Amino acid sequence: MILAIDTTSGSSAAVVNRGEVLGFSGFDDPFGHAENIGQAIESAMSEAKVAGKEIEAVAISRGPASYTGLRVGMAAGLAFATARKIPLLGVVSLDAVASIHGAGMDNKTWLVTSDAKRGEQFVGVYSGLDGNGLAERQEQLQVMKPEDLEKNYGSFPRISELCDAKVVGIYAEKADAAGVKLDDLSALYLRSPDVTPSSQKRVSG
Amino acid sequence: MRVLQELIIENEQQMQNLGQRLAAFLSKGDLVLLNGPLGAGKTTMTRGIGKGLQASGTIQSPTFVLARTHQTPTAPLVHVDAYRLGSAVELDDLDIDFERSIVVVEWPRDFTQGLSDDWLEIEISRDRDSDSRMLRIKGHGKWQKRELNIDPGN
Amino acid sequence: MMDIRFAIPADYDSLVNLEKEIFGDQAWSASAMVADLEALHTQYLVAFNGSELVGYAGLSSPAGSFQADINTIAVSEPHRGSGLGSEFMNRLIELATRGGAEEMFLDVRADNLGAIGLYKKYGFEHIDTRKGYYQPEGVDAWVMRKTIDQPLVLGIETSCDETGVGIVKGNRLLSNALNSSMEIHARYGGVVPEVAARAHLEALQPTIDTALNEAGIQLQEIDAIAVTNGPGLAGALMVGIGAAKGLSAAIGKPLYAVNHLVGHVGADILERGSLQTPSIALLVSGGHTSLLLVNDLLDDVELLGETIDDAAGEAFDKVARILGLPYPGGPEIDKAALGGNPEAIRFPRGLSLPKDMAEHKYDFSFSGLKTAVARYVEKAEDSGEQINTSDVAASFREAVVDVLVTKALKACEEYGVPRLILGGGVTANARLRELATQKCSQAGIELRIPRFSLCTDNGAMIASLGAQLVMAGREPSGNGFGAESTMEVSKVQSL
Repeated sequence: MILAIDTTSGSSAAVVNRGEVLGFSGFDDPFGHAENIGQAIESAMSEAKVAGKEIEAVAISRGPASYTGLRVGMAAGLAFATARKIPLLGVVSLDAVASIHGAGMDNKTWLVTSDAKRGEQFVGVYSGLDGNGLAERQEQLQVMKPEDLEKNYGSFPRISELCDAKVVGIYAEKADAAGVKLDDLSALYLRSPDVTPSSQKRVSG
Repeated sequence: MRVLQELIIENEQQMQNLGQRLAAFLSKGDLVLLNGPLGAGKTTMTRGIGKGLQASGTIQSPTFVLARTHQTPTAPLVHVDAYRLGSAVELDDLDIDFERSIVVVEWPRDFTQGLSDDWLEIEISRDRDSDSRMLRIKGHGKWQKRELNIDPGN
Repeated sequence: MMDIRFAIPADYDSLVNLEKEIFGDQAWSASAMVADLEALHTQYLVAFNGSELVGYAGLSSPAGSFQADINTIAVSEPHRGSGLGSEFMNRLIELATRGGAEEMFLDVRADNLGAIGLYKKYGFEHIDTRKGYYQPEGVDAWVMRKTIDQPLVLGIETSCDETGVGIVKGNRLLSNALNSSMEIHARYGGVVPEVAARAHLEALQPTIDTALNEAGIQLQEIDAIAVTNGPGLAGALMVGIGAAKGLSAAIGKPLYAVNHLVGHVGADILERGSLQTPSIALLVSGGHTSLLLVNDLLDDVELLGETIDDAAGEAFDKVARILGLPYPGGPEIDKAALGGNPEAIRFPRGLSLPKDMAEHKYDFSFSGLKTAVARYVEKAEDSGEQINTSDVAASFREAVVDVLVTKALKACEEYGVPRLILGGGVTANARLRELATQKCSQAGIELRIPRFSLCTDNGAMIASLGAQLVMAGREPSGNGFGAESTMEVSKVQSL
């Protein structure tokens, strides 16, 4: 029984068990994370009819995303896990989206992108799903300007579904069961150190 | 970039007046950068801007707290002091909603490149021997097309 | 209809008379009665039927004792059995609880079965007997005690650079954990301080764990969670808010979103066991310089004045820069001021001129002072003179401390409040403490300066404020509140 929290775009929470979403609550507002996160968690748990003590692990989205919003979800998840003394699983949002929405992609190469503001995009490049249904990421995550994205990856299919707690929860459960280590809990700050408009910046992900 | 106006400010009241009258030109999505040494009058100018925008709360130096948001009838006024920031990443960290706010940044240095294509930059220099300040108001991007002839009054 | 309120001097005569009427030979003398009514830590309730005094009750709660004693409950003969005694009991227990008492005591005649029955109903237990206490009859006195289980509250503070988590039980401090790049001396040599939100996220879990370990409790035992939701840096506040909401969902306990500045006033409760009001509070830190009139911590906090430009702590940092001293400004200026003459240069005391009194009587401004120091240094540089840094530092510091203490004391005088509380990180400044102590003593004002770990931004003060709300039976905050970087001081709790 996993409580998943995502604040990479809006604010959402989900309770996931054995691949099934038992409860979900999401708010689309990209700015109301601190206001909405409490209600999202509460509603998701209430819909799933579970109490805090039944949750066995917490999955949080580490981004990449805009900072303050991202941290609200991570802080809430961290606090919940600390309180219940249960494991905390850190999920890269683009990997989760790639795995859940990339089902039909077979062994092609495809991209998952999300808004990095300032007109830029966060980009993850994937090449197929493994035996556990987890998308295999090539390279590090990047942040790119549209021109560079076109130039380098223009020909590849692109998924731009938004990440949310459902996706984070299902992915976390699958990945954890497959033995993937999800113990990196650092927030992904994919901002290039200087913001002078020039070539694409490769930054660690 | 185009210099929109140059003027001399004699005292604190004039600096505040200037800010107050400048506020009439500001709306959601605007960015104002205030460059000037310690004591130049950046916070005083911002206080004037706040007054002109009917901002809630007292306009105080955000050096320590980094950014302060004041509600106004039009758009939130975000007052930033970049002095304590180590890099542009930390400015990004503040996650300011530039599109929906009116943002005034003190000590911008070179962290603010790329924040917007259009901004107003006000350079304030202090005269060594008197209380006067010399102001140069520069328009970048769309601001180059504006006409500014603000009278700071008395 | 029974009207119950606190006793006022106009009631004293009636009280003395009713005391004699009810207790006859055992009655307290008039002078003893009035002394008790006037005593600092005693509260008396009176019940009037129209203009006739029909009952009274007294509670004594010495500050910091965590105990409350019922001095008396008296109801005039015709009104006994009307429920007035019970009503007094309810009110006294409420007062004791709100005051932070963990135990309530009373003495009762062993033969007063009616009263004993009432007290037992309210949870009092017979714990001791004083044989033959009531003379000349030789009746025993029963000492009875009621324990009050004060709320266990965890408080989270992330309004600026500090991550603080503290735990209190009522007015009692159990732990105060601070993740500080903020240990003033540890920051010696630091260039730009580690900024806010990112650091908060990393510090959260260790700080929560430290607080729990030091308090020796499990998170499940907590009754409520308090968190600062303003004023401060929105991004930093949001980390604390997210954490508080996560904790609340995990353990199913309510949330109280509180005001950071009012929290600073609440810090004194942990230092002495209770808060004496009314009080003037001077809060001075890197981010705030505010003068408050506190009539009631939860319901009546008024902003008398605040800085209109730099906070005092900021002024120290900026002037240190001007003088070429490293960060942090406060301790560096103090070091530089050693041996310096505070009267060497008369720097301006901001907003202290007659023309400022109309609009800015209790406001502060340190920007002009900052410029004056810059001017002074520039002029010296221009004319090739060596400046005496010690004198400049001492004189600057004197200007800051002088205006802070002067305005605070003026407020005490104008509002007739004989108490001043200091709070905020700048209380670390010895000269501020020294001058405040000296001037308060001269003016007969009681000065309260909590220990430094409670003065600087911390989680325990937030827990304390949350506890006060719980003890007063206030509704929790719900879970829809957000971060507010500016917040009126009168808004103690966000719902």
